[in-house]
Amino acid sequence: MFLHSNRGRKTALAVAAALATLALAGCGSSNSTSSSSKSNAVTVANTLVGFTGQAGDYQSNFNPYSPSQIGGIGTIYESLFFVTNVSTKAYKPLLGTSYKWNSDGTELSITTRSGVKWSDGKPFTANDVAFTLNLLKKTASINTIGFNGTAKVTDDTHLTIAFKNPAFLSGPNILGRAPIVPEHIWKSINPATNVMAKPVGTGAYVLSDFKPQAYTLTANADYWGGAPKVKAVRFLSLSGNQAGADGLAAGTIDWQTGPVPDIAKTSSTYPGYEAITIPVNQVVLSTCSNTALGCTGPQTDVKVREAIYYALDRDQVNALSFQNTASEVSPTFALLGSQFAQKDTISSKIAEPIAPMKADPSKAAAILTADGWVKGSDGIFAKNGEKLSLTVQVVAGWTDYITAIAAMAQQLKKAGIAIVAAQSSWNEWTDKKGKGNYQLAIDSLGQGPASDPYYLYSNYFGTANTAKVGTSVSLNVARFSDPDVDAALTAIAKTAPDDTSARQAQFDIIQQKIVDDMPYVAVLTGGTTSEFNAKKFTGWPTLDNLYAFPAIWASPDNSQIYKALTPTGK
Amino acid sequence: MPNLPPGTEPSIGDSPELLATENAELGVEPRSAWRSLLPTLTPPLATGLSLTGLIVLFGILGPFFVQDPTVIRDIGLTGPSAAHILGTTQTGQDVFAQLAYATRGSLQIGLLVGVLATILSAFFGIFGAYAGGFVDEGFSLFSNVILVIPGLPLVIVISGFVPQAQRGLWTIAIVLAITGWAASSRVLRAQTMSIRDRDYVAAARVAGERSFRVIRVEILPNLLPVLASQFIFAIIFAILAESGLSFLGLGSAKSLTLGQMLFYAQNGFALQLRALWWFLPPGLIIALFGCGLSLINFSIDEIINPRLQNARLYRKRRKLAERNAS
Amino acid sequence: MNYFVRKFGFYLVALWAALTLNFLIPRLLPGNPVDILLAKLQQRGGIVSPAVRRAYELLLGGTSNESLIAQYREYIVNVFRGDLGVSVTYFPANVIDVINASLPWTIVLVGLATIMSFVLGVALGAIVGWKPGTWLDSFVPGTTILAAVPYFWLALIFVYVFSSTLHLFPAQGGYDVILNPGLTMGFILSAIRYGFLPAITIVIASVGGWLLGMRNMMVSTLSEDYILTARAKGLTNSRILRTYAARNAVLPSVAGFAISLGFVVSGSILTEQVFSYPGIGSKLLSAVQNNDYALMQGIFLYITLAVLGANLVVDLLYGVIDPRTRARS
Repeated sequence: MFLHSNRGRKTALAVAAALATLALAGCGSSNSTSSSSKSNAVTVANTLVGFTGQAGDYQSNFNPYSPSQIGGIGTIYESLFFVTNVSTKAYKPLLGTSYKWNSDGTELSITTRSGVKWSDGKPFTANDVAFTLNLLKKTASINTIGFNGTAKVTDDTHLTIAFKNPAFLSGPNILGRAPIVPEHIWKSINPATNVMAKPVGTGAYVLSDFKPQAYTLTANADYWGGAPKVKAVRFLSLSGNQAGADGLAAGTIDWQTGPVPDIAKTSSTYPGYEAITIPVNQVVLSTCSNTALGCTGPQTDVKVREAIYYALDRDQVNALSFQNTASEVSPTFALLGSQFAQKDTISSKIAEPIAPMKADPSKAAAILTADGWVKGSDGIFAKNGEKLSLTVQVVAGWTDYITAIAAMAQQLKKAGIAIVAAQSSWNEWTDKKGKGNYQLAIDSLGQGPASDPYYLYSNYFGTANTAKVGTSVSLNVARFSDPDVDAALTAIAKTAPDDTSARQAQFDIIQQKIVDDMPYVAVLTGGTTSEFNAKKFTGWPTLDNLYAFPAIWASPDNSQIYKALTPTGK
Repeated sequence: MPNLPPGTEPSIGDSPELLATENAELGVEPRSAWRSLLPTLTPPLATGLSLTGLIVLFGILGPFFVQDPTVIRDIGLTGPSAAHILGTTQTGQDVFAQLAYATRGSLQIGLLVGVLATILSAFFGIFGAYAGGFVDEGFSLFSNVILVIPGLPLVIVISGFVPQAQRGLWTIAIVLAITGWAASSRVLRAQTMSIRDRDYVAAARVAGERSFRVIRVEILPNLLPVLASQFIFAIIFAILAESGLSFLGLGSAKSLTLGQMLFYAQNGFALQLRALWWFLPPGLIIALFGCGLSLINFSIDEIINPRLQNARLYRKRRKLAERNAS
Repeated sequence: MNYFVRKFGFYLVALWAALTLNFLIPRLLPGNPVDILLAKLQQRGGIVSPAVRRAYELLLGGTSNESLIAQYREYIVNVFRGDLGVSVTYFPANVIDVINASLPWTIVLVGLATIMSFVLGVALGAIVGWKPGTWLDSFVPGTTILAAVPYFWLALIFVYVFSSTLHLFPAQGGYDVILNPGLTMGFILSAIRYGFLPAITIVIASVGGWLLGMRNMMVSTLSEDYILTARAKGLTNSRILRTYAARNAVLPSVAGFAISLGFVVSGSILTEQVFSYPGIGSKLLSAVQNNDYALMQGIFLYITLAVLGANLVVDLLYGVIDPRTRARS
């Protein structure tokens, strides 16, 4: 190469200089989007970086009704009101300003907000609301709220929805969980399969950038409620449950929901961050309890379930498996936190409204002995030659539940009950649970769209949501079925939401039945812990001011939080 | 480098016959046939044998001397202390006790998979290559197909078929054996094909011996070192693969293995909590055991390929030659 | 000619058998996509109700009414048409799009790491094998410990030391997400920075194997007659090493290398789990966990084609570069 002339060397220098310029230019132009208006400029200080637990790449999907949607509910698309299940305050008006039921719940009148524009500039009217609702009814595969009314527009800001049957309980879903979509775009697309790569909504944010490893929403300068102060929200995709904790340690993530080492000391482990735990999911041992629907095994005996209930040392399970983030639970499954206002729905006739946190192995043994079980030489009860040994199904990767079962096994052994953990893949676990091919399974119950125990009772105790062993169901896996409970559920559906005494009478019936039968053995109320950067942003929900559920994956609650936060500039 | 006249300078290319002649001149007695099948005791081999031996002893005898690894204590995560030599896990379980049982579990899987995989690869590799023709092509095709099967869903599928009561080490071992034999069968096939064409094998066939007898008497003894080496590879593969599967949450649910310990340590944020007494030992045991096995394999390689012995003896012979020359 | 034709036909049969197995295995998984999706939804605090279940059943579970044979026929036909179906996990994205989004990352990271460890291992092995009995050679048994370390354990320790403690490298991700993917210098530099730790861990874990194999082959080769001839002819040592010894010694390693290149496509699930690296391994894990038949089959197809293809190339190549194999069969 040194045989070449000077010319070659000069060319090489020029090329090197060009490359260097390109490199510098490349570095410079790769920053995030910036808006034309100076006050809306996106900076690092007003960008919130969140990790929703997304493992693996994002696949672009901003269709709010698609099962694989990755975001946009509440942030890009808004519903009529903000309805959250961690508060019983009045619904916050968003696209709707007021609503009214008629006396028997067959007609809902809604007033919509005027002066709202879609992010593509077109005006929003009540026609869009009616179109969205009727689209849901027409397209069964996206009708996740089960809407079966007929929406009719009376003028640009008023519409009425007519139902055949009383629909009080669909209120929260229709008003709070049906993101309104623009008629002028959605009328000509396939709502089930279109991924809406360029979503158009009325919300405070618009989609500005999408990459498989992260997507970014930036503030909508023309938002009807005023542009939010958090100018950009970026969501990362990482993997593994360590990724979130590592991100907090490195300061690259501002908000995530999940376990971190030593939750109690979050502020010292991650300076500037704080943690909040909301007790919102009842951890239970589901049992296949109904012999009439095909369940078999010792757990079909109600006394066995009762004995397990009393033999658990809930304090120890909480300390060893959940880092003390769990809290007390009620066998009526009404959430006990004050924000939920469900504690008052616990029937006064229930002798023990809160499950005992300490184990009482002698009481458990007494229950079993009275039922005819005899303790064997190995300390385990037996009856008619059948040992009281039960298997608990758990997913192989869920270490907190596995640890909980290990602790429970030790506790129950003291009471003479043997339980064995049966770990399997998630596929198999859902299959077994769904079909009823199990004895016990550790699981957690979910809430409804609003803070109202009705939804939980209907989902997990209603005959409509269960089937014989062998047919897969997703909700009432305990196969509980009681005609009185079903009748009470139907009665509540017909009762106006503000008629608390009538509703309470029905709750009393339901709760007495489920506490006596205990198809799900209540363990603890699991807490959802979120960690957030309190130094960088202020305005986060606190336990005293729980205006929204502070889990980053909870939509539309997260959008309310983005709108409420203020960057501190640090 | 001192100059030795050409001809007296030893080279690693020297054939074993030359080595034998040298030894005879020095008055060293030749080894018996069986003795020459075993590797010579070199420092690497000694290290390998002792590492492997110690860990196997720990796995077999350890569980008899340690506390119950499943007992949950309220003390939670604590460092090494007098009561717990290696500290406790997040649920207060004794790490040292878990280590003993986990080593036993991993060794069991390693042994099971080693035996199963070697049997499978020996059958498909040796018999196929010996038979030749269609059988050979068929077996080779079969092993190619098996090579491509993804192990991940297979673990879940096979686990799903085994009734829960019987699950455990065997399920994982079977899956690992099924997905792991294909690679070594290729090696065995290549070796068998080279032996098959040797004179003594041809003589046996001409004499009318049945195939199985020829394989058993003529071919297998020559393949013993290769088989041993593949067996050891299979054990290492099994232990590493099992730890990988456990890390993904798909491990053998019933028994405790080193991979499972690492999984729980990882999920219990052991590293972030600086609980190195929980996170390091299981990985170290896997590494040391694998290392010991590899060192043994390293020495077995010398038997498979005697030229490697020349390489090792090069320095020694060179010094000897220098001494003789001076 | 006959040799090549037979080899090719042989591999076509293997391909068909693999395709059939890849069709059957996902369908043997317990559970169904709808139940799992609902379970996942509930885990994430979503509202699960009978209406949601009905909606998802309609959306995702519709096509399972046909018989297995009909599905199989459709599957084979679609494979040849290049239609790999729609993914359930990423509904309604096409399987091909899902795979193509992450495949480049896997191929670049794992491919480059494999090539690096191969080149490094073979070069070191050649040097060490050339001068046996030196101090270098005594290191060879030491490299065996590297090959025996559980990969993810080593990777996690690296992350802990170099990322969380020393802050030298980022702990997770494929590139700094502020940047846009593309052939810009900034992006490439960022990708290199983020890919450094994952690549290093892969190289360290696999270099030992190549080194040992090459060293052993080198020692064998050096005892061949043509080496003696070359020395007798008076050629320089480096010439003999490069042109005669290493070239012949590297043959089995090349075969092994081609096969491991084939396996690159299956990605490294463990690497991606530890480093949150965007690759195809995590897609496979999600597909398996979600009973996503189409995505599983699609990924398996890519792996099958890559590995069988690599195998075929090696077999054919061997026929070309080593005439003895052709003559033997």
